[in-house]
Amino acid sequence: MSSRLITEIGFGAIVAAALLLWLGSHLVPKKIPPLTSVLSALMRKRSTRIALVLAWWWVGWHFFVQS
Amino acid sequence: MAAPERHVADYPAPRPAVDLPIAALLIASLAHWIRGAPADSVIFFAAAILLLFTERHAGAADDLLVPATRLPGASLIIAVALVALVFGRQTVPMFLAVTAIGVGALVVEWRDPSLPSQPVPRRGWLWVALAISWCLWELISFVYEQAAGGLSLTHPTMSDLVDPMLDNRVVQALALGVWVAAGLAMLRAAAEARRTA
Repeated sequence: MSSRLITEIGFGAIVAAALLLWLGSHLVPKKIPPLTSVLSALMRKRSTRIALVLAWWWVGWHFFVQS
Repeated sequence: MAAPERHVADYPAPRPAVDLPIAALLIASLAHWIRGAPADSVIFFAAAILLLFTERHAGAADDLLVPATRLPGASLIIAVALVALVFGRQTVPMFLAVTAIGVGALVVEWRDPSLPSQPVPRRGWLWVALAISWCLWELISFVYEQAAGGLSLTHPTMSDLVDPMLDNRVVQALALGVWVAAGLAMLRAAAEARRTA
């Protein structure tokens, strides 16, 4: 198996896990907390808020302005 | 005479020696510098330094929550999707739109102080573990890319894999809409935290 395929499978597995978690949080919210509730708890701290907002903004900047 | 019983709640919570989000911003700044993006590096470094200053020198006036900002909704998503459809990416209108959105989001989130911490929902670690897994996988690819002197065909980063998909303007408009919707959801989650403060 080539290194590139392993890298792509790794990213694919992470995306699939994210979709499964998102789906699970809608189907069984008592077992898997929705991402928004986790973010809500984490974002009470200003530095976490800014770091997350900056990370999100950079994704848009990188793909739509910079790349 | 027995000493009065003390509980954990009687002691102030110890202040962590390292603020992890600020450390993450500094590491990201270094990574941007290494990959040859000095502007990105400066933005992340400036945010980290400004955060260090505002968190260390928070005054009494800083403890007051400012009135909640009314966040835009579908109108903003449609507006940016139209910018992508009409102008495409890597254009001046796109630069202005993404910059304005970023500045607006940062201003909204910077105004309010840190709130008393609250426990993360049960099994919330699943989402955190997923985010850390992605960061580590991306970091491995990033190290390989730097060792290869640029683009690595054997260990592409996620942006190398996603970038070719964004050549079509319709896909750009959809992706930009999803990006804005995700950001708005995050800002609403932060607003929810403020409401329960």
